[in-house]
Amino acid sequence: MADIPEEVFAKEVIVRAICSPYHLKDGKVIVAAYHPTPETDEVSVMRHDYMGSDACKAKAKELENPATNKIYEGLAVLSAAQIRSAGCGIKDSRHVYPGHADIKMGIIVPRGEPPAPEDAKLLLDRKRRLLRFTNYFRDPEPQTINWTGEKLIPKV
Amino acid sequence: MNTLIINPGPPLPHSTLPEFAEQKPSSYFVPRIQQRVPIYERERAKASLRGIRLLEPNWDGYNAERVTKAGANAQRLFEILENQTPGLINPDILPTSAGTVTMEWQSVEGEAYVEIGNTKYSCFIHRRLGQPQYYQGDAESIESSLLNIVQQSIFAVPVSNTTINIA
Repeated sequence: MADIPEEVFAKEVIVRAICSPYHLKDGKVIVAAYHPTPETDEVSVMRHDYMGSDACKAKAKELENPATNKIYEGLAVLSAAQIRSAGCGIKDSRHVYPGHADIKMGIIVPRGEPPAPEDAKLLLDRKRRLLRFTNYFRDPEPQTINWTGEKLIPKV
Repeated sequence: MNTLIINPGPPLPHSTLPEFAEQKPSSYFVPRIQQRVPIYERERAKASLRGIRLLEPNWDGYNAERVTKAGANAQRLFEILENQTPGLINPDILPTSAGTVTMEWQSVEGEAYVEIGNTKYSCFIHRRLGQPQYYQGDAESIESSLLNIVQQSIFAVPVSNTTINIA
């Protein structure tokens, strides 16, 4: 893996793992795919420019849990510039693993409780903007180790 | 000046049927808010809520919370919807990784969003041509009045725009 700068550059390709059933509806990614982890404003993503497609897929498959019916389905792709223009931030978080980053949604979601309604609206608006920019690549061969689908590029 | 003449064509068939013509409009036009949602759609939503309540911790792989308590509150709200606002369509129902449940409605008039947690709920209603309205309160005491506001705000149909029910 290449040396990874801490700064996330505008043209970088950013990837989010997509799993069924709660990230998809009728085969399309939904806003739930961009809900932050509790007590943070962070959505876990990967820096594709430094990890490559195969490593992104391998990490995505680690999220699978057949016991709870959580199945890896594919990868959602954005550019860092698109994330920022959706009103969000992005920061490197290599302490999770090299190549990991977090989209900063700007609204911290409490554990077990909803945000204030004004914040809930702001968060939903940002998730929708991310969704509009999202280029979703369904994995044609989710069982295989390597990525065999189309080249992972952001929506133009 | 050219004049465009529109030929109205032959009379519509129903105007030749005295039985039809004598009916009052209210017999044929039923506002959408008075129509009932099919039982199978309600049952599907209820099954989805039961499934959400059974989610294990980390169900999304990103350290998601269990949704047991919030799910129970969401189930109760859905029962209120079913029993007290029968014309209100099912919302899109989803769990969040924070352990809450979201319900979303959208129509040409706007959107409504309710997020229910273990003890609180947050709601906003945004009509297409207006400012968002915000509501919040105790999740265990949500009342049908909230759903009535949702229904009246984004699903109420003026009498002139009612739906024809022929069957």
